[in-house]
Order: sequence, then C-alpha cells, then structure tokens
Amino acid sequence: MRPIPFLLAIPVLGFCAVIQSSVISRMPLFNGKADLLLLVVIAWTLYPKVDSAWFWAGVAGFAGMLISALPPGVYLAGYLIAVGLALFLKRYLWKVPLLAMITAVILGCVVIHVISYIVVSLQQGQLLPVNIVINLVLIPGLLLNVLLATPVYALLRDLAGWIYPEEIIDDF
Amino acid sequence: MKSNHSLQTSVIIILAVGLIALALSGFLNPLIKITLSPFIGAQTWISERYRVVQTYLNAPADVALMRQRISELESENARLQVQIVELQNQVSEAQVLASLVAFARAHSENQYIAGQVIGYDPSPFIHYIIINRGSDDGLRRGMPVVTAQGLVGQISALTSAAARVQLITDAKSAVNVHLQQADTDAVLRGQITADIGLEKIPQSANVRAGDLILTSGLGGNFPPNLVIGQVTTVRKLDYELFQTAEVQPAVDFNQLEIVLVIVNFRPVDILPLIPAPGQ
Repeated sequence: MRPIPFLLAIPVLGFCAVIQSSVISRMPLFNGKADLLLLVVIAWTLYPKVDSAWFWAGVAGFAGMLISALPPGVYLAGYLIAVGLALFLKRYLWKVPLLAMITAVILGCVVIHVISYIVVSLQQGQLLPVNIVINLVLIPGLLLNVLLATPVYALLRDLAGWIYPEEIIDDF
Repeated sequence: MKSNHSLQTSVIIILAVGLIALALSGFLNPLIKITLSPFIGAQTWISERYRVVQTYLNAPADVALMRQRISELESENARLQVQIVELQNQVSEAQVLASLVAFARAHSENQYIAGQVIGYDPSPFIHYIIINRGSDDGLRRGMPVVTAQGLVGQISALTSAAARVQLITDAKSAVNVHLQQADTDAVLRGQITADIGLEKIPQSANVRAGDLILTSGLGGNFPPNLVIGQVTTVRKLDYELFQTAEVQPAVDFNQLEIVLVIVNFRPVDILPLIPAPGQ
C-alpha cells in the first residue's frame, strides 16, 4: 500500500476545510450550503484505483469536526456512510462515473443532513420543523452540491490520476 | 591671341557678376523657380518612395516593440487594478474600524478587543462564526461579542488563537431582553432559518412594531442595554400564555467582518442558585 495517497489527505482536506469555512459557508442558498469536504471525499472514492477512501473519509470527518460546532462524530459518521454509498455505486456505475458522482453526492448530502437534523433536534429537545428543513436547507444544499460536483470531480480525477498513474502494458 | 583670351575671361567674369547681382536683387527668381521645380518634384517623389520602403522594412521591429509595450501596459494595468481592489478593501475595513472605535468610545464602561471574522460554520443547522482572536488575547468562554450596530453573540469555544462565537440567530441561543417602549422583559431565541423571535412576552404587555429591544442583563449572560433589534410583527392570541413577536436584528449577520469582544464582562453562572425540582 503506497503511503502518498494517505499523506496527501491531510493537506488536501485541510485546505478544503479552510475554503469551506472561509468561502463556501459565506455563500448560502436560502439556508443551504455546499459541502466541499463531502464532494472531495466522494470524488476521490470514485476513482477506480483509489484504496484510501476510508482514510480520506476519516480525515475529512476530523476536519469537519474542527471547523464546525456540531457535536463530534456527526461529520465523521456522515462522511463514512457517504464513502460506503460511493463504493457501492462504484461497482454498478463504473462506466458512468459522473452519474455515480452526482448520485453519491445526493445520497451523501441527504445522509449528512439527516444525521445533523437528528443530533440538533436531540440537543434542543424538540424536533426542528421538517418542512422548513426540507425547503430551505436540504433542497438548496443539494442544488449547490450538485452544481459543484462536476468541477470537483474533474479536479480530483486529475489528482488521483497523477497519484495512481495508468499502467502501460506492452504486448509483443 | 593673348588679348582674345583676356577678353573672354573678362566677359565671363562680367556675366557671372551680372548674374549674381540679378539673382541677389531677385530678378532671376521666376527663372530659378521654373528651373528647380522639376528637380524638387523628382526629389519629393523619390523621398516618399524611400520612406515607404523604409517603413515596410522597419515594420516588424516596430510592431514587435508596440506589442511588447502593449503587454507591459496591460500587466501594469492589471497590477494597478489589483492595487485598487486592495485599497478599496482597506478603506472599507478602515470605515468598519472607525465605526467600532466610535462605538467603543461611546460605551467606554466596557473594554473591547477587536477580532476579524475568518469563517462561518459549515453546517446549515447552526449559526456560528470563527474569529481570529483566542485565549492568548485574553478571551474567555462566555464573553459577549458585539458590533457598532448591536449584539452579535457569545464566545462558545476557543483555542489559543481563534474563537468560535455562537450567534444570537442560532437555534440554541437564548437572550434575556427588555422591550424599551413596552417596558417589559422577554426571551429572544434564534431559529434554524437564522431569524430571531421573542418569546415569553406577558399578555398584558403592549408591544408594538418598532419597539426597540435591548439586553436586560437578567441571567448574567450578557451585560444590559446592548441593542439587539426592533420588533416587526406581534402575535397575540388570547388562549396562549404569552405573546410572541418577530424581530428585525440590528446586525447584518451575513456581512460580519470585524467584531468587538467585551473582555471585562464575565457571565455569571446562576445554576447553583436555582433550586432543584423537589426542593
């Protein structure tokens, strides 16, 4: 197992966490926000040769925990589940990776929002209004994440291609 | 023979002197003009053609020079544009700081430390900001955070160089407030949509739109008389125990750049004074 993909997780996801906190979080759509860490982790997972997806999910969860006031473990659990879903989709949608990316982003976003909703509701001792959460938080967040999915996927595919170069087999 | 030669020489000298005299006196000008004009025309024509050929031969060098100059000017223009943007940002920051200084001078009973907002919480369910001041700057958990417009929130967590501030728009935030015109107390709560509302307004209170909302100081979490906002709508139903109201905050929470932390206020923990149920 090569160490470079694991070592690369820390600077890449650390940089993404900074961008998420200082830039992305300042551009909400209604009350929904894009999740750059989720997009990066899913895009990394969907590259065919990647074997460090779970590690990247763990680092992203830790980075999310540092920049957010949500209880520890929310982002970690969310990203681990999202990576699991992405690995499952990779098996069946490996011929259409962009479709797999968008599907995984939608599912991952829903998972993280559901976990956050449950945790915040438990903290407050009452359920948050579901119609407001869906209309003003979940759907705008999904839209922003889907919009960013394609460029993030393209960037991470290039990075993964550089880390995991294609093998050239000479047939004589 | 000798005399013929002398005569010829004399005639030539006389003719030459005569011509010079005529030329100097201007009598020969028309003749000179007629004689020289074809030569001048030919010289002009040749000179113009030479200039065309010279321009054609020198064109590549001139074009390259001009292109280089254009490129230099474009890069200089871009550099100046960046400088303009930076200076405009500095002007805007200076204006914010000036308003904060004016606020601090007007409320000199408190001590303040300014902090720059460097991030927002990525979760859409909670409302926190991160500032670039921490425990090394004398900040402590629970210190109130304000701007020149009014109350922003309270420090909820911090490291040595940064602090996380819970905004009053957060759903878990609760601030004891006083309605100035109605002269009554209430509780201000944040909502998931980043709006804020008043709860626990007594039914007997006469609350109207436009009523100014200030912190009351009750509970010991915030100092009194910090501006929060104004009442926009009031909901009063006879079958409910309390009135509720919507609030227009004085602070624009989407445009926070620099905030002040009140460092000489420590929140009071009144939990030990609250009797436990059954006592």
